[in-house]
Amino acid sequence: MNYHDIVVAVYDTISSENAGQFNYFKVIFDDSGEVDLLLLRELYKDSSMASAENAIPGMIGPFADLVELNRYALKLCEKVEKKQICIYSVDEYSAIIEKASTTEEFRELIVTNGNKIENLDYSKKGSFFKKIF
Amino acid sequence: MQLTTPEFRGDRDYVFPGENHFLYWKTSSSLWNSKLAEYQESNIIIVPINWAFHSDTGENYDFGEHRPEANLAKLVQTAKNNGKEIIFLVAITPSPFLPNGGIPHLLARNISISESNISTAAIDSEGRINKMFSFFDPRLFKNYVKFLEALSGHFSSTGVDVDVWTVTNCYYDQDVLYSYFSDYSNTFTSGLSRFLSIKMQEAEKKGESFQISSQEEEQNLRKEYYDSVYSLYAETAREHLSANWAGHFNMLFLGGRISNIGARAFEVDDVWQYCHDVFRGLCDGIITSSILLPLGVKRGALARILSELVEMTAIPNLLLSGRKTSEEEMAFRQLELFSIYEKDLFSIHSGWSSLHLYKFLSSNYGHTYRRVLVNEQDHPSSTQIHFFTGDLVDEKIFSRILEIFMNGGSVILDTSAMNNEFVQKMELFVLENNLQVERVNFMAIVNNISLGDGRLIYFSGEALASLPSSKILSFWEKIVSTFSLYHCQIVGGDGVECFWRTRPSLAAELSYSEVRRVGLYNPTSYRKKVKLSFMKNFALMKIVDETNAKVVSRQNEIEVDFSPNGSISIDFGVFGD
Repeated sequence: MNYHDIVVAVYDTISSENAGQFNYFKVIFDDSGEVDLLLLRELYKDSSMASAENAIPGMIGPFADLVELNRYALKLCEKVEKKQICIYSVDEYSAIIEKASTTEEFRELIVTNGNKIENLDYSKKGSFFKKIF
Repeated sequence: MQLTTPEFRGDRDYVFPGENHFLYWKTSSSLWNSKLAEYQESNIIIVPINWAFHSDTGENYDFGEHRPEANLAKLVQTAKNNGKEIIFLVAITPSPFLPNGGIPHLLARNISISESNISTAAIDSEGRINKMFSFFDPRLFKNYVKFLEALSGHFSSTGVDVDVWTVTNCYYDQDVLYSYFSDYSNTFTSGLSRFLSIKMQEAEKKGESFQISSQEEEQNLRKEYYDSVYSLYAETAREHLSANWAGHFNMLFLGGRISNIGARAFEVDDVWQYCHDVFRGLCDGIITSSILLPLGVKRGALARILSELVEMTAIPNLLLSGRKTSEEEMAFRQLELFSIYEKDLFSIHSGWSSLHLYKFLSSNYGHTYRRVLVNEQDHPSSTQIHFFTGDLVDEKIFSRILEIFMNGGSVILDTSAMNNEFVQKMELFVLENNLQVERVNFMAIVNNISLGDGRLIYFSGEALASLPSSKILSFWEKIVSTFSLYHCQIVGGDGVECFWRTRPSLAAELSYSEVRRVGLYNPTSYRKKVKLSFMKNFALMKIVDETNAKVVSRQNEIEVDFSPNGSISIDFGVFGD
């Protein structure tokens, strides 16, 4: 797996005084750059977990738990047509930034770490096309 | 200084990474003479001082005693021998283009955390990830003072008399300006706790109680602590460098957005965003640096924008103001039709942003606005309309508003959050001067007062805040159209940026009150078409620097067909009334 095959999503857990804790995606990028915010918002709106309450500008969410977060992440991975999505908490992502001295090291670390979810649709599509062509 | 734009430069040496910067530590001192002699783009060389280069530990300093490359006095003399002048920069924040943000490596202990809760770092032009460390570490501040003492000692003992500017390094994220000084780490929190303890002790001594009873109060205290430490760095630097200190400015780093570090590590550079940030920076009075960007990214429209608007306009206007030659006085400067007063350029809470004023002005008036700190000394500008929010109004600002109005200027005032005392003073002023107030209900109650050429429009922005953005933009269109502003309409070309500059007319151009130059830039990978309509007060003088652009000129109209990365500049003579 190399960095062209993945999309990276970084989330944070934010507490609000009255509403409890929720997860939000803060940074999402792949080898085309940052994923378009409009696309992310549309995808979130279309998902069953969408809630306008506790929304924070500039972030995608809220997600009540990591299960919802991962479900959205998979949909996103399918939407941007990548083999895999690597999900990081802000602490895990910061640890990679702190460890890497160069962009090359960063790419190696980001691909090999994180919570990974495979896009099975991509694999199936890949093998289908391979059979045809 | 030429009045036409010189040709775009080709490849840059990594010692001269852009905007006339010279990174002295990246080359042998024996090569300084030849490097400076070869550099023809400018006689003003900007040199950021690399703290870590002069000390590993923060305790002992080398200014040429051990390594000739550390001898800043020698650098100044070498530049003088080549007819060049050095301007030094001393950062009062972490510097994203340097390892460890520029601090000696033994002091690099507590990494800074950004507002997005991610470690503060930036990717430089060579693909290195530079982490930045908390300036709220007391140990770091103590050593910073030692650095300033050593630096000023070196300058005074060697007779270095060149200008030194202090700099706050910053970046934009979604059009909000952030400083690299910002820190949300435990180092900041520990410092804040100490600060609050001191406040509590002081309150107890006075027999008062000290309690944080709301989130707003907590935020205010956090800001107070932040501001006090930031001011400490700024004032300490100014005091120690007083013999050479020429001023302070903010420096914007393209590619320095912390949330963008991943995309940049994946080798993606958003050139359109960089162009947009440059324009935003110009409107905020910020100097842009492209030091973090690889040479390959600085091509086409972006390169021309940096050359024409930053190197040739913004930098000389800031760093050389007060000592320009008569030729330089005639050079182009940013056209500022609108001045928008803010308490703090770094605040995410701008009333004008929520009323879409910046969006309106950028789209319709091509970045002809300037955000001004409300306490900033008046700077020479072509401002025709001044915007104030009510929360800024105190005695001094109230007097300034009336002074502008009485002297024939135009003011637009959002009275929401204005202290009742000044609402009453305004009413008294109207009564005492027997002024007629025209009142219109147009999405909000809009009051208009005229006195000779002076106009004062005031309304409550709260009434607009709940309206859809399209309505608010219509509001601004209507309000601003009631002023007689000489300006050109630019239609079409979504993604094409435009930037207006102005200069006084030359002796041979005395029929004009001024000459304006519009730069149109297409940083996208698509063809774009733009139509520029101009009023009878505008006379087309010449078309300059057509690059990947085809121009069709008709009466009072110019149509430009841009190829990807195209740009053009057009000069107009403007007739006054």
